[in-house]
Amino acid sequence: MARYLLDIGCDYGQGFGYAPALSAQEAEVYLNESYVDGAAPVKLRG
Amino acid sequence: MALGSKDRFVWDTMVTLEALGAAQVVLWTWDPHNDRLRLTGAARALGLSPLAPECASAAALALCLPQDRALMEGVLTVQEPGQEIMARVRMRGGETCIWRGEWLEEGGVRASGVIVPETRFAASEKDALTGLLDRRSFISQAREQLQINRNYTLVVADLDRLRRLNEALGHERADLVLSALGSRLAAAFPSDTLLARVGEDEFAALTNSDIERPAEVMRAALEQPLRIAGFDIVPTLSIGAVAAEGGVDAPEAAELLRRAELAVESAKTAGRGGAAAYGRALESDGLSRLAMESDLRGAIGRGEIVPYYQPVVRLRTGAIAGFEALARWRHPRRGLIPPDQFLPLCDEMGLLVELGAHMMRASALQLAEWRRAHRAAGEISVSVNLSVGEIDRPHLVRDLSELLAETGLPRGALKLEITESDIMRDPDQAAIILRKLREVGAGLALDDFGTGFSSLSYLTRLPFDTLKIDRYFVRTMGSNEGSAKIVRSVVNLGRDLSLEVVA
Repeated sequence: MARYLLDIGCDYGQGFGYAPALSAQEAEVYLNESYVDGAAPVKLRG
Repeated sequence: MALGSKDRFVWDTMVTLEALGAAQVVLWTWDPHNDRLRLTGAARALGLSPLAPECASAAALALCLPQDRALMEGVLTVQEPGQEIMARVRMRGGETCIWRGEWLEEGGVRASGVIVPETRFAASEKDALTGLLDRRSFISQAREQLQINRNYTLVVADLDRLRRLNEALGHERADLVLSALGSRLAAAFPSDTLLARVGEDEFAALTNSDIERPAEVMRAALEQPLRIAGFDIVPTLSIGAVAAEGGVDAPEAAELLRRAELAVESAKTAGRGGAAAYGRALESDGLSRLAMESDLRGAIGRGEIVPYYQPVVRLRTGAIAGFEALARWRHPRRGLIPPDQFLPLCDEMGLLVELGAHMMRASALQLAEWRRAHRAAGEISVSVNLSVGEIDRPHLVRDLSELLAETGLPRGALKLEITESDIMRDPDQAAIILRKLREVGAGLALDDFGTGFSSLSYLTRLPFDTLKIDRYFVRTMGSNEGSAKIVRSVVNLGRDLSLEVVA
């Protein structure tokens, strides 16, 4: 899905397929992981 | 049975005191002639400190919850020496405690005993008929289990037509049916599953994610023919189930059981052998709704409604671009409540504007903290939904301006998301406010785009920098060509108008 969106020129993706809403603490961990990996980690929903 | 002088135990003072201290119990003596109740031990922990070290009977009765007052009177009523005392009593501000003791044979008319908190000392009581946990023990143990961070399902099965069985077979034979069902239930689930008889004809199982389709497991186990007193009996069940996440935000066990039982009631309306999962619609019951309303009032002030942050990813690089802040209610008993279960109520109660202001402030403060503390967060943004009608809130622009000044957030870091329907109520007025918001430094996103904008010309007149495609189209674009076309069209539209697009 992300590939298709990118191909048609979409800038950003949210929700489906990336990550569910996270508590502030979880979001901070996500931020750190994103910084270390250079890309946003994909998390299973729920 | 009373102890005579020959039967007395030898107590080591030090061991006794240390053990009693560790056990959090209270020792008591009651002298009815002098109207003196004496307490020693962990009175404060058990909510008995107003009565310690000694008090009159009236004080003890006054501190009891009204429904437990008669039980307390029973404790204090003089009986024959050797008579045992046993009562479950709850005091105001304390937990339910078990008072155990005995009327003494020596030293005048006196009683003496121990008071223990029920949850610590009586958490493994079994149902005599089935050998399963009883309702109270089930709730107590479920509460502990739900602390572990796993996915759970609570299933409740109600045996249809128990009354008819009782009438046809007599209670003793009907009890055999219940007993057999208990055994079958225990055999159907792993030994570490919490199983209980939670009502006269109700069984419950709290299962973790290792067990697939627990409701079907329960039905398969219990809906097997039985032969009792020469009759073939085929039990049928109405089953209700509710899912829950364990961990710090786990719902209260009693509340979870209530939800499963609500689902059972719903299943019964479908006739014998029905099944239902708990859902929001079942909460239409007036009392439940009333309780929710009561809890919601003041929830914002108590800090129970908090932003959760959904990541927005830059597709070209895979890097995180920001978050959308979404409201969640951390209910002290019901656990984490999703927005679709409380936002409509907020709307009806006129709390949306207060909620919107709270979310904006909390999210801005969090973003500022992240940007200060994390290199990775240097460029990220957080978007917040403007709730319905919030665009008309007096001082919205001023409040936002002050918030941005207070947090030091740069222009565009805090984005406001507005739905097209909110704009279309008064497009000209909305345009004025949106421009002011933009001037003071807010980013602006048009939310749920594609669901009914009546005039695309507004897009060129309103100062948006971002289009957010309605979720439905993104979710279904893989299977629905129409959705895929809309997504493609919106992306092209955004590019032509120099707007960023979030799918």
